[in-house]
Amino acid sequence: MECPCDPDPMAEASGDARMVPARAPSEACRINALPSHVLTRAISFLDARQLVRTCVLSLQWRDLWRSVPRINASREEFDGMPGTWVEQNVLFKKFFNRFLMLRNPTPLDEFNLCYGVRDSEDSTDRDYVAESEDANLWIGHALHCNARSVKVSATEWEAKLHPDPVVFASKCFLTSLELTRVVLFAGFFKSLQMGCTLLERLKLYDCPICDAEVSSQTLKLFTVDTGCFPHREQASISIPSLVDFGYFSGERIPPLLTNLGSLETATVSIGTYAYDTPLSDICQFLRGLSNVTHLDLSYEGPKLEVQANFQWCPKFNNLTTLTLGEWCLCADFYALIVFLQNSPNLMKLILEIRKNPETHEKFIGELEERYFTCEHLKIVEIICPENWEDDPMLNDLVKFLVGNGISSDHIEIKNWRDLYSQQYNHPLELLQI
Amino acid sequence: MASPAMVTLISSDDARFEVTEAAATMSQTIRHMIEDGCTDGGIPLPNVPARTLAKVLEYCNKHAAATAAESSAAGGAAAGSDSGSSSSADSAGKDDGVDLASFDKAFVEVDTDTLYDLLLAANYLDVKTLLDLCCQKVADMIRGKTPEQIRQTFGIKNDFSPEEEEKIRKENQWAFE
Repeated sequence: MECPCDPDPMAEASGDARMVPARAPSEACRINALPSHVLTRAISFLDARQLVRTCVLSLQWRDLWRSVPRINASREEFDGMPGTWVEQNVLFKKFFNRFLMLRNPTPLDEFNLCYGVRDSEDSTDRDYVAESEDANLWIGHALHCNARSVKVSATEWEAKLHPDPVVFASKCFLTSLELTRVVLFAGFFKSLQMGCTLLERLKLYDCPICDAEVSSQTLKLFTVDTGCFPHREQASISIPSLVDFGYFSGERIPPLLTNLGSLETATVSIGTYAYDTPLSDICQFLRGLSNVTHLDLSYEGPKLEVQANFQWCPKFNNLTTLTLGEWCLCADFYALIVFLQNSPNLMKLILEIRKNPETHEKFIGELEERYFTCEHLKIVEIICPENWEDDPMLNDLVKFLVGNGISSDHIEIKNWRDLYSQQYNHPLELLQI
Repeated sequence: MASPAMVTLISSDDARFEVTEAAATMSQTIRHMIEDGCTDGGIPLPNVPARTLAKVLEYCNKHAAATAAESSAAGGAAAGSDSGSSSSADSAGKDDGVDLASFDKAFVEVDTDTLYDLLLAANYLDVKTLLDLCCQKVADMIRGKTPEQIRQTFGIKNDFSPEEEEKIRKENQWAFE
């Protein structure tokens, strides 16, 4: 599958003489009169099997599918087929290998693959690796065709994919990579550094990670969502170019952040409800984030009692927007106060309260000094459940903020239900609660 | 607050539209014209009739305003960061995202003729997000339909001879199984 690729997918399409129909389209048919690169772009949003099926529409459409700039290959297109799940996988593999073989070697913009291998009691790691072999070829093909965005997702909850990290080690034009339930074998991040030298966005969802060291010179956005770093050792992350960091991994020990000098936005969660996270690790993790301007922090661990006068929170001198959850309110707003005392330039505070803080007592300690100064703090948003609006704690919270010089005009209380029903008449999938 | 820079766009049928530079430059074509200093007396867009241009500008105004709101909601601090569309911590940013998604959805609820006009205009003006939005709509109109239903939807004439159609089906049997 050779691919004399130009990185610009638009350049190819307009000069493609095969797109010109041999017979003139009927005068009424406006879709056939669209420039061929617009038409191929439009049908490139279809899943691969439906895409190929457009070949029977008319002469002009016969070969359009071969030159699309985006591939969406989804095993789910074969869900209704006869046979077991494994047999359906075989059909999908057969189909998609054929698809890539017959496709024109035109450059790709995007490649989206939904395909995985299911866990089963009698399968071994070897099965997974063998079953992932085709996926290696497919991803390799996409990268070879200059795909700039690649998304790979193992189709369903029990499924996983085990690609060979070497796939990513050849020079390519990838800028955005998103993986879901893909096992990242040792060497994955080294391969990315070797081959994907333009990579700026990396999102990992539920991806077991075998490397303990993550480093990159190019990433600007890095999200690890319910992934797992190796359990035995603490992971370390060194990405001097990183601007936006998302971490919701549920590790007991958060990673060591060694070099995140460009970081502006961090949306992170610390702790896992089953085990204690030592306060020293929390402290160290926060120190790695201390240059950010935007911080959204949740604490998911069990109840944690801080010894008096223990300085666990670094100074957040650049911080302008802070989002915290109910965990910061007990007892007596302890963690909230500590953050406000350490965020002298804060402009906006958002408190997202989803559960009753009294019953979710999380992060507690005692303070000698309860006063804070945030002279730029002009917006406080408290978003809470409906039944919390009459709660004495809310009243106390507002009193406490006002007592520290925040004008009550700057405090806005919303409840989740109103927030969504007022603003959105939307299908639920858009609501990221 | 200083009033935003405005530019005048002139449609193929000589209608004039005053828009903010932020909205106009969502079009790469217009952006290049402005950069080349071709704005005196308005920017002529000979390929876009007024009716379509008005619709395109409705889209550009909405999206440019949302982008501006997002960066001011962030206190301007994250301006210049290209990570705005990511997992932003800012709840205001999330609201805008949902709002824009519903705007986009409603925006392409149009008849096919308007959709073709928008596709051609978005292509000529090089507004990538609008082009993708309209392309996605075309794909949505194809998805799940039989070939005959697709032909009907878009007025595509089946110009294969019966033998040719038989041949093409046979060749691509692997995708019809």
